[in-house]
Amino acid sequence: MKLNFFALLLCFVIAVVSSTAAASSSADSFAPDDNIRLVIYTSHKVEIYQPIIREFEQRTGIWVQVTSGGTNDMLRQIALESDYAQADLMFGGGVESLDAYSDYFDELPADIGEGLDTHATVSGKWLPFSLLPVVLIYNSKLVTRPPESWANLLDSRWSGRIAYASPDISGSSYTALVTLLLAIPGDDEEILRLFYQSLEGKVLESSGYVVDAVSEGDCLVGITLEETALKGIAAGKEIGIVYPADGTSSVPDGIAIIKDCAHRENALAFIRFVLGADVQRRLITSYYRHSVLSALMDDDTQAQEIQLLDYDIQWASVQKDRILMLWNQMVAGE
Amino acid sequence: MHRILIVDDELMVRRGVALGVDWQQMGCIVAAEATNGAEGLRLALELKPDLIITDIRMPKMDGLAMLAELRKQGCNSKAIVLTAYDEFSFAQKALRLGAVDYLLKPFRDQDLAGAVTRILEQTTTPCVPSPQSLLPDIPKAPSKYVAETVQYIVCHYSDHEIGIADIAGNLCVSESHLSHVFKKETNCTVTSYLTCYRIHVAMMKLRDHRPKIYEVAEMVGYRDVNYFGSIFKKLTGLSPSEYQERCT
Amino acid sequence: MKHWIRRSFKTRIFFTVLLVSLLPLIICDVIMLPILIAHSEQKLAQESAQQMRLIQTALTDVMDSLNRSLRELSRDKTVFTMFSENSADDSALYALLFQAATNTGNYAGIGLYDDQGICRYAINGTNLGSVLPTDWGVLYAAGQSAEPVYADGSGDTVFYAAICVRDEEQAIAGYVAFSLDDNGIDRLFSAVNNTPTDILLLNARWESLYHTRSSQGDTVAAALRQQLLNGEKLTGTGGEFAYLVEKEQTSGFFIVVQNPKILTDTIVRAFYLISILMGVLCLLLCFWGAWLLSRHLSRPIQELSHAMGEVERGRYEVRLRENREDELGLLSKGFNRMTREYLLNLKRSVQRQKELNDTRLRMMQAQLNPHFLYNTLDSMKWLGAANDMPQFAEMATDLAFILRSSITGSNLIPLQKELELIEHYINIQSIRFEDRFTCEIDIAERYQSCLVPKLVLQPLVENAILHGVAGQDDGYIKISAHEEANALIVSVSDNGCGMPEEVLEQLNSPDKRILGEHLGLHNVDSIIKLYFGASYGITADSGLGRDTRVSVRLPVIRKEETDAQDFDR
Repeated sequence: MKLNFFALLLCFVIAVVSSTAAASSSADSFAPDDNIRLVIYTSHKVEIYQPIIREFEQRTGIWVQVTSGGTNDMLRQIALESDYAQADLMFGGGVESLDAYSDYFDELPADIGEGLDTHATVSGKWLPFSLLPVVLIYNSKLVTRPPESWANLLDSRWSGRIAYASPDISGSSYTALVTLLLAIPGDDEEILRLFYQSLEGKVLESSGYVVDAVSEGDCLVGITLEETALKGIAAGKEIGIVYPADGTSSVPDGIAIIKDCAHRENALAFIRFVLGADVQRRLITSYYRHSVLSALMDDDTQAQEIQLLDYDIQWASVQKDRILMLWNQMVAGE
Repeated sequence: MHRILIVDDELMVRRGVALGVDWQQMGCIVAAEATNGAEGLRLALELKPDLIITDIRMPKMDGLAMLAELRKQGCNSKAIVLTAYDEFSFAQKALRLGAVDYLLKPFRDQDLAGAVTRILEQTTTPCVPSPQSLLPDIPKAPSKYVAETVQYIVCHYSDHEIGIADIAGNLCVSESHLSHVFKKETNCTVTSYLTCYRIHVAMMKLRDHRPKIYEVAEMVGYRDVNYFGSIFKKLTGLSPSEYQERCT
Repeated sequence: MKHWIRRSFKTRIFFTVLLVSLLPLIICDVIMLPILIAHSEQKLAQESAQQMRLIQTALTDVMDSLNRSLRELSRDKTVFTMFSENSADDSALYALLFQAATNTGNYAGIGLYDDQGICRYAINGTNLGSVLPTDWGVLYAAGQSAEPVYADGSGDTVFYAAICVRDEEQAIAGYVAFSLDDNGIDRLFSAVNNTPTDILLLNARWESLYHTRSSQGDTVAAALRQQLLNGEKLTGTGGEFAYLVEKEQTSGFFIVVQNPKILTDTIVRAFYLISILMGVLCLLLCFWGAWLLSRHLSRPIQELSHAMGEVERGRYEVRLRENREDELGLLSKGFNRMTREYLLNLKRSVQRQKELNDTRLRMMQAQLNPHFLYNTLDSMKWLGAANDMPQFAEMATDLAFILRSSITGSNLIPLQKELELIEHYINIQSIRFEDRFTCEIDIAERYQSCLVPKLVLQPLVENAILHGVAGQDDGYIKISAHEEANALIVSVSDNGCGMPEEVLEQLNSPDKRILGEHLGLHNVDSIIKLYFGASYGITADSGLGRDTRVSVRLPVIRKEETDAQDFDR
């Protein structure tokens, strides 16, 4: 008798509770199928990736999910997820960094690199997206005689007034460091020490601070990417650009497909899109960058003027551990 | 010879008194018997006995009236009143009429003897009960246990704490067996024999010396002199001090 | 479970209290709360649906009108001429454009862009001479299709609707584009929605185009998009709003109606948290309350049953505390009254019995003149003596002594006198039993003066003779005494057949019932207890086939002064 009553009560309760659950709004009918989805990890800034991705979505109807973050963070995440890839594509990050993680990327079809400038293409695991020359900047108000070369930078008059981000944190800072080592002849360790001494211990936490540090006068000179500098100038910051006379690097940032990803076809479509003329043209016109398409490079007069070093991407990638260890030793020795 | 007059309406009583006491030993003789107060009065006046033993309740004239009359008529005979009534008023009257003693029926023969003795003492040499009469008889050939018990008692009577348990223990026999055997042969219990023996010794001591009563009590194994006195009186009819007096 | 509940009323109280307090709580939480939540959600959904219908209709109307106008304009000769020959009748064109604007409700700006993407003609906010890229965005999309296309806008523009104008060779001659900005959309939506509802416009891939509160547009849209892709319920950011999404068919855009929830997620969580806390509190209070209540009730009951047990065991002095006013207090008072009455009754009945005995005795004494008895016994004595029956005489004398002692004198006599009495008694019994037993009285002189109740030892000796040694030839009875803890213990031991277990138990237990043939012992025990108290009385030590020892325990009372009358007889 008592059991019956309880059973009845229980049924009633369940009915009430479940009906409340049913009342929730479910828009599952609008959800896209899995075959029109794409998941991208990117280290680009939102003002760069968003228009590109939106256009891609518009043209293809593919739904893209974006997670953004620092290059190293994104790459480490990919490494962590290597057993069960959550993302399909890595969009951005210096190619040296991509190269270091090439084990986690998929082989790309041979035809996909058509039209690319051969200088930039080295590996079958990643492709270049845009070129990023490293430049020196100086405060246009405070500095009358800006440094002309990497060697100049080591002059005593710049000691302690150099804006430079830690190569341990920033991929572009590491590239700049290798560029400096390549530009200035001599023993790597010696040059590294000289450079570190010039910094007088002042190392910035992020490459994003470099432009502000110089324009606000905390530092007289700085090392950054051309794109960042041009954007700064366009924004009205009081800086000037110097393309080092002893040459600089123009290391591209890249794009790669993650191994065993879920939407490989869509990823390939995205790569084709970003390496297509429409996007690459916009790099030059809207993003202060340089294209990797050989067809467009011919039109990029600005790029042609830059004195380039022979920057061995693979050498830089292999040396990374050693150089960073030396760097950290010096930091610790302080 | 002292002459006794017995006055009682019951034959039984008269016979009992006459035969119950050893008058000869006490130096007395039953002179006459009367069945009522009037007869008693006549016989008393006629025979002038030394002692009148009378009942109170009798037809014709009760004992007290008879005594009163006798006294009126100048008779000085000693009187012992026997009665069933323990009323104080009778006792008082009897005493006033010069009765020496007042015995309640039924009485023990010793009581009567004792009373008679007391009276006769006042007129003649007192007659004291002998110590020997006190002791119960031991058979000629006592059994081992009886003999040993007696022996033990003879040696240890002065011990305050002695009891049947000690005696039986000393003889290595059970109390019950000892008690039975002793009673059978002597018609007396062990404890009562002990008591008798003690009083017997006390009588000896009182007669032979002039010790203090409490010393005697102590000597025979009693610490409580009052208790000793009450036991002494029960067995002899006299208190220790009276006995001591009589013997000297 | 049922059995457990029934066993103790404490558990019953607990479960009742638990049920009484938890049941309403459960009903409230489990039934009412979900109903409340469901109802409010349902109401909200209805409202949202209603609003959605209105908005959807309005938007679709606009989209359709845009669609129509675009088609018309793209086929219009004047427009085509302008593009192909680069010359036109300005006023005619503008008239067209204004007409188109009117047709479409004047929400959008209209622009005619040439094949380079330069705006040649513009009204309603579109800027003349502004450039839209032809390789990107809306113009690119328009160029790829013959139908009107709908694309995201940038900056102030929410979205574009455009169509390309083609020449006979299907080459692109130019574009017609409508652009709607925030203001236009605001006006469009506020025409149909004057409630505080927020509206979002999302593109085909659920990216934010427009939000009534523009600052929140991106975050809310991003959250909704993520939830859609993950297959989760659409709760936006924070669970304070309910969302209803519908697709606008013409453009492929999505309309989202955002209504504040009456019962937001936080509130619901708070509800459940509170109800759980209430439940726990309830449970604790139940435990505490039930415990208190049952203790309150069970303690007096326990005390009562304990007291009853005491009374059963014969301790009539036990009393309960009378400190309660309620029914249990009445019970306690009643119990106390009852035991008091009982004790009184007991005392009264003993007293009455004594009085009865006294009265009977006095009656006996009055009726049966003791002098008659004494005279008779005296005659018997003389008769015995005359007929040479000394034992007969002795019996008569002893009996007379016992008789006289028992009806005269005080009730307390020295032990010495009592022993004298016993000796007479034993004499008589010895004659009856033909010397089959002996009796030794071995009592130290220091006890001889202690006062004892008259005839206290007689039943013990009688018991020893009748039940102890009756069947033997060598019966041995010993009367002894010793002192123990300020009490006088007089013992009568016999070497008889012993007492059976149950008789022994009854003799020794404080709770003595009538012992039938051992009535005498019971009487003695009662008398002693009544005179002197419960700690005195009779105890026995025996066993079948063993010696028996019955002892009477009395207080030590000494008679100090010598009583001349008693021993000078």
